[in-house]
Amino acid sequence: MQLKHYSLLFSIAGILLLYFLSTLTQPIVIELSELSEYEDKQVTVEGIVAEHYITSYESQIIKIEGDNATAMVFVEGRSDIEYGDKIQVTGKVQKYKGDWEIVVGNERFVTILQKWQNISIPLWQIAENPVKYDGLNINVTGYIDAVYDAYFYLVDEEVIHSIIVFYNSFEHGSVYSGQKVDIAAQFRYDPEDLRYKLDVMDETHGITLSGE
Amino acid sequence: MLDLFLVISFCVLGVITGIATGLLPGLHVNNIALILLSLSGAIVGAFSFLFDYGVSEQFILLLISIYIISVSISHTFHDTIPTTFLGAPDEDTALSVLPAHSLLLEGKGYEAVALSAMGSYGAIIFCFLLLYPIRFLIGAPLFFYSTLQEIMLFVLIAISILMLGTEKAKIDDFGTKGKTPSIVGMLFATFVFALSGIFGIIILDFSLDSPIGLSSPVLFPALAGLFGTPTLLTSLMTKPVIPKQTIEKLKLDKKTKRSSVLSVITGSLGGILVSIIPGITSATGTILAMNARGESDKRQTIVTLSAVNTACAFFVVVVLFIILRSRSGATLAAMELMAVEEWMGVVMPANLAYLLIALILGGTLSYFLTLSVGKIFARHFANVPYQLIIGLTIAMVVILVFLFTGILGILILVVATFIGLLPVHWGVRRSHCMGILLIPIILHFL
Repeated sequence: MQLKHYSLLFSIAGILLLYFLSTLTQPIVIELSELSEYEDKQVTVEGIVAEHYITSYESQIIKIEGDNATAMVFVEGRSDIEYGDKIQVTGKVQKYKGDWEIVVGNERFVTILQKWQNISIPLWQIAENPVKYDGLNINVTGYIDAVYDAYFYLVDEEVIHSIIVFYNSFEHGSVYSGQKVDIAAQFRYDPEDLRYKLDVMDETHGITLSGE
Repeated sequence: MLDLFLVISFCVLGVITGIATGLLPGLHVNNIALILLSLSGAIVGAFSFLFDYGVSEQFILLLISIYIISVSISHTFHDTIPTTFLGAPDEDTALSVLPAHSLLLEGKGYEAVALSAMGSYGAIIFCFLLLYPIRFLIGAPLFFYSTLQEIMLFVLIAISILMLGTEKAKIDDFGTKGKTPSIVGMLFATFVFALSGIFGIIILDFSLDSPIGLSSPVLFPALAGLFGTPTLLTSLMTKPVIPKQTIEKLKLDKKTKRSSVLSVITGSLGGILVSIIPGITSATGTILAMNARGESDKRQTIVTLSAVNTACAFFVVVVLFIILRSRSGATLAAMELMAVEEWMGVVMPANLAYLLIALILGGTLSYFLTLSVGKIFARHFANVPYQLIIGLTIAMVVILVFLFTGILGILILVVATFIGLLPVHWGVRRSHCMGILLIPIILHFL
């Protein structure tokens, strides 16, 4: 056998060996707060979508939150996510302009674990850390308290926490005090009235009778 | 004033480093860039005394970027010297081995170097003239890059087919009659392309670990193995007998001058294309340029190829500021180090202006230095202990790969070296090994 045959043989054997090794190594699942320890490593993280937009070059930038930490995710492609969705991403940890980000080579590596509409957050949990949910779509279950023309107050079962809900229409006609409802809305701070509020503002939002 | 002094100093330092990386074929500028990126924190620390003179950390990081860009431009000038005198090309200059080496065997090695320097410097001038036209073409208002992105899949497939279809190697292991050797050559080129692609798909998701805590880019051992070590190993095993060289100033008649201008233009356009499209290298740009040029004269091949390399190194920097994408290891490092502001209006971002100073000053210095170093080589290259230098370079590459990427990196380097040896041993173009990036990128667009 000549030298050129050896290079052919060893290159194929080498690739098979690397393939075997690749099946043994899976991305490590880490918390968002641990990113700095995994520079240039493939990792899998979970978080809630706090921001997302498409760049002029059709890449997607997602800000995810969780574990009292945030991170930017750079996706080479476009995933079908919404504010508030719980997602899992797998990509390489890199530092970009001083901040940690996860570079995801393909939108296939962005998995929606739970749509925001399917995650119901109790009012007490929001009250503990409202900043965490500021600007997110959230789903809350509670009881209608005082009702006004364009808004009402939602309270929890123990009537300890309450929040104002702005809405345009209710599919069951009118809302009544005491009704148990599920509300899908955007949670955000109202700087004029110095309070947080729930806004039922687009077609993805809504108010439904609880249990329906 | 201090700012300008520092910019010029780092540029000159970069040019000098570029001579070293250019003369050592296994030491690609991308590797240097990645190493510098990993050491940027330490470098800022070393230059922290400049804080007392009002120089900010951001400016020191910009200076490191200037240094890296100067290395890359100087490298594209000086890498012609080992290609010519030792037949030891790197990935970017592999296609010019035959014409340059054949001039060497005629005793005209220096002429090959001078032609290459002329092609490179011509590309710098041509690229500078095209700065604004290209800015308006690929950015606002024409947004050619956005259009290109929509058809990128087809562009990349077309380039791959062109690369494989223009393979001229003849392999007679399976028959010597008719067109069989040519067909086998083309099939083998396709095999190398596919094998590199599979290699890329497997390793690009690998997590490597540096035993000393450095960042571990997986492409470092892969590209060093595909393009660096096979060249070094081949050079180590060959000891050419070269006639005495004549050193004369380059003289071009009117026809050759006109032909050279055309070579610079087509080469530069090929280089610019490489700087925009992902996954292709200067070698691919040369194939495109040579096909467009239709010129088979060995002198014009050298001019065209040098223009492609330098134009690519020049325009990857400009393109970085227009489309905010890095297309080389050098710009990837620069992007990580400094703020890259999109060039949207007529006035260019300040950081790009600084880098352009480095490109033009570095290019001008490199032109004269290439001629000087080329002369020294032509006179004394028989006395240079090149085998020893190459042996030490191989050892250095292996040590660096281990330090940056650990044992798994060494394994990737070894496998990549075997794949990189296939084109050398079977006589097909090395650029087919770029399947390592092209195939994963094509699959991404699918």
